[in-house]
Amino acid sequence: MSAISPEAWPTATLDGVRRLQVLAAVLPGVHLEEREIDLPFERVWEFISDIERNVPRFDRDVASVRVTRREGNRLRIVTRLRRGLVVPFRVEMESGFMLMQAPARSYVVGSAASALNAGRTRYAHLEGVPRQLGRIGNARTARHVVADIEGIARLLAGE
Amino acid sequence: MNALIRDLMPWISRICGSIALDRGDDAAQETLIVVLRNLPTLREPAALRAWVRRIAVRESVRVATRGRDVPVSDVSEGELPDVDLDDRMDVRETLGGLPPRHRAVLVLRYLEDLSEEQTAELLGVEPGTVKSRAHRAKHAFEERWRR
Repeated sequence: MSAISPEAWPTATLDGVRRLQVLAAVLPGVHLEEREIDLPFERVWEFISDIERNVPRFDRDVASVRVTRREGNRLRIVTRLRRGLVVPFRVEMESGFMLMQAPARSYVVGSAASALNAGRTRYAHLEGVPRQLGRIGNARTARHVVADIEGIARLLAGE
Repeated sequence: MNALIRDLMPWISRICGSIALDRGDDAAQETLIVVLRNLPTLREPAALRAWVRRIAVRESVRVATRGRDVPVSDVSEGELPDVDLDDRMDVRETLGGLPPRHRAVLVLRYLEDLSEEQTAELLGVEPGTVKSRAHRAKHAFEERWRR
């Protein structure tokens, strides 16, 4: 028994969608939405990871996104909101998972995708202020996330 | 928080995968939720590993046994020779023939390298129960190895 190498033991995995589900379960004030998209994973992730081009297209609050630094899978970006506010984010990006955090964790955005059968993809989108917001704040966040994910699905379907 | 998930996952994945098998992904996800929700209650950072191990084992057994009864039948004790196995499928298939609580004993004794006493304390059973479950599991591995 003791001769079984550690590599021989079965392992569990946690794909990007599950990782976002964990964050959604433990962070108050964030909202998670999931959709099945009738496109392959590679196509969906190519769209999501092109944040400079596509975030302003599906997020009604964002006027522009600019990548200011890129080190491996870590990025620094600056987002300009339509009402004029400029917000920097630290971004962790890998295939199938992305997490953007504003300073002092004042806002988080998460995207994740995992391949399904028959060329379909499960996409998950999370956003919010990770602290207790109350019912009205939570409802506002939920509406925003739903609008974002519907915008993503609509844009992907049209391309 | 994401960094903690990344740090813990390689280790949790073996515990959850080996006890919950096909439901290992669910067990790992449940484990991380419990760990992250309760992290502020952990007073001693040095105890993180033991604390997470306890949660991972508990969640894995819970997920693996959800909705069904688990027969626990111990066998007589005695010494068996060590079995040298390195085939992942053999390990998985053999573990699949054991109840989740027995798999938990194996994981703690042979993957986590805990003593019988430590394993018994973590699982809330008598050391003798750990000994007999480990013996039964070793016997199952040896039987498969002989085929």
